[in-house]
Amino acid sequence: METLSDLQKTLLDALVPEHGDIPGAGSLGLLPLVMADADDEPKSRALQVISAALPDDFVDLSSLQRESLLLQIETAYPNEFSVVVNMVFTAYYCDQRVLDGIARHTGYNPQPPQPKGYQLPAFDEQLLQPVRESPPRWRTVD
Amino acid sequence: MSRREEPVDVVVVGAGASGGAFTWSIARQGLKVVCLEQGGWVTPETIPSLLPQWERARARTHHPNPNVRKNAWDYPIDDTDSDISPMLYNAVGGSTIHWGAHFPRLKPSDFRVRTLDGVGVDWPIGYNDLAPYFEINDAMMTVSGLAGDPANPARGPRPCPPVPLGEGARRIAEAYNRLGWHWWPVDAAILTKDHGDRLSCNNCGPCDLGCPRGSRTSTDLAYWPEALAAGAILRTGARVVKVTSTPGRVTGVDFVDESGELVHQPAANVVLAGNGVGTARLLLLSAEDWCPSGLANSSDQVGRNLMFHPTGMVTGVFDEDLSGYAGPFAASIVSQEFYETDRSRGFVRGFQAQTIRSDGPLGTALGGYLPRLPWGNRHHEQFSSQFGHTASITVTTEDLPDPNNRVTLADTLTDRWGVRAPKISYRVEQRCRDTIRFGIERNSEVLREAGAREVLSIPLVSSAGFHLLGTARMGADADMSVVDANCRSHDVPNLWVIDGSVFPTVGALNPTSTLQSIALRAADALAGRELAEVGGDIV
Repeated sequence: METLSDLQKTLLDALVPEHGDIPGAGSLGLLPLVMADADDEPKSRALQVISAALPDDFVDLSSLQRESLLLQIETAYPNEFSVVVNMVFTAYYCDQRVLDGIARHTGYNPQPPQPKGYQLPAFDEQLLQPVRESPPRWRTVD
Repeated sequence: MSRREEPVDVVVVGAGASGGAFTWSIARQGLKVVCLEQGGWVTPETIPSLLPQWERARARTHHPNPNVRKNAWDYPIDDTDSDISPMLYNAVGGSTIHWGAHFPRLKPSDFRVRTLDGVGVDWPIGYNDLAPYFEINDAMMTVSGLAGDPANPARGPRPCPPVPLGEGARRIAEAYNRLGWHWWPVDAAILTKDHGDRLSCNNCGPCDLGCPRGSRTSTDLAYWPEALAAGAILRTGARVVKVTSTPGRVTGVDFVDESGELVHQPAANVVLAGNGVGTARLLLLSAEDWCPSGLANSSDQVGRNLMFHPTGMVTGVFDEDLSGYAGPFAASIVSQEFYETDRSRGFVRGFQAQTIRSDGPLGTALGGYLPRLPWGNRHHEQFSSQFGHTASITVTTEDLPDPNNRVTLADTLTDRWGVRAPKISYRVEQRCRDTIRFGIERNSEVLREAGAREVLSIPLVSSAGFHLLGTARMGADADMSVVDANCRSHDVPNLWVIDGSVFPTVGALNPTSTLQSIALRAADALAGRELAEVGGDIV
């Protein structure tokens, strides 16, 4: 008999599966963070509704079977499902292991935007030459 | 039993964009002024862009919608009857704490829409009335940009050079050039060179979370230090619950201080700067037997004509990595190719197309510029194709005054002190939807010309209630407006409204530059009148 937390962990893995060397959201251990995030009535209720809709054998299903089942649940409870997806995405994309993984693939700086920021080339006024040559295009009024 | 403060010449309600500018000016002109702000100071070390959980903060504690954020100093807004949900911030600096700092001016034609296009109403003032105040304000707000834009009247040299474009905006600018369309680097209240102890922008991206370097200007940095030095008094944690009055005159305001005590601040003049929702709410809350429908509301215009700037969004997905998350998210270039009326398009008025950079990892996943990413087995593929690979263009339109789009008092919803919350009722008019559709079609062409392999659009960004305008409009006709051309109430001569509420129409441009200039002009008007009474000197 699977526990509720086993089902929910599998739910998280199904919503955000493993990717390369980064485990899925459930296997990353993000369930406690998602639970803690359900700190108001709409989020708490959404998590309860979607969790209750999972069958006892959800853990034993194949990846495709889980996705098919979740599509049915999403159709039945669109608002609640959307809230849960947002909570899972939020937990996943704020996890430093995930951000480090994105950085390895993209060159993204996985640290907070500040204090480092980014270097960008200065504005090139040459680009504006055609616009500078155009006539005034705002309406004058009395 | 309430405590009573010493009387002042002027009490200002709200320390945001307009309240900060106004208080600075009025204090320098020698009047005794107190400003009451329900929020507090935002300190640089608390700004989320310094924190690993910065994107979580944006989605929760620093969300632009007070109904989501629910900070202790916020009031709720009933938006259940609105197509667009509101964004605002309560703090010293107001919503400039959480803005993108795009800083255009309304154009001359925006002040004459009835005369030119037969819709809306004309303003009782024009561009030239505000021109000197625009220049003062640009200097105070340390605007970056470039003079010489052929789509706008001439203006002085910008205090700072333009914000860098980044790869996405550069491609879009080149596409505009190939199409022969207008574009120009934005005027932005963002430092691109050091200014005193404030540092030049380092292109970190999320200006909307605040700027720990002080590069992105907000009025707590631009106006308040000088206002306080000039003698203005600023009280934070002061929630104004009522403007007090006797028939025909206001006598001051009642506010609840941080300890929960009710305090009365007597004043010769009351100046409201609480934005298009907060100011209308306060006027309605201040009803008395002599003004049963609300203060300054004999015209029944208080709360009516709410305008937001309905906005659509079109996004290009590029094969190449644009590193679109780098750079101030809302500041790069704009096109005003389709700004002025061309009746052959099938609608009057126009739109501004503003290039927007792409989002961080969580923002990409949750959507906003694009629909939310799919969950499940296609999730990572979609994330990889979009993250850092997008550039967006907003299509910002001009909604026109409609008396049925309005702020009222909620029937049952209250703030945590039991004071009735504002309710907004708002529908996007069909003309705006037609304009957005046209704008999305045109700017889809631009993105394809720029090399996007896929172009997607959102016909209405329902969360983008970022400009709260029109609910106490100015006008020459006291039966159809709330304040006169100087922002002074028609009904109550010592009551003034100086925020975006006074806009009779709103153009299709971000309003902060214009509303601050209106506030500076109103300060001169009030000081000129007051100086005759109190014998002060103009600095």
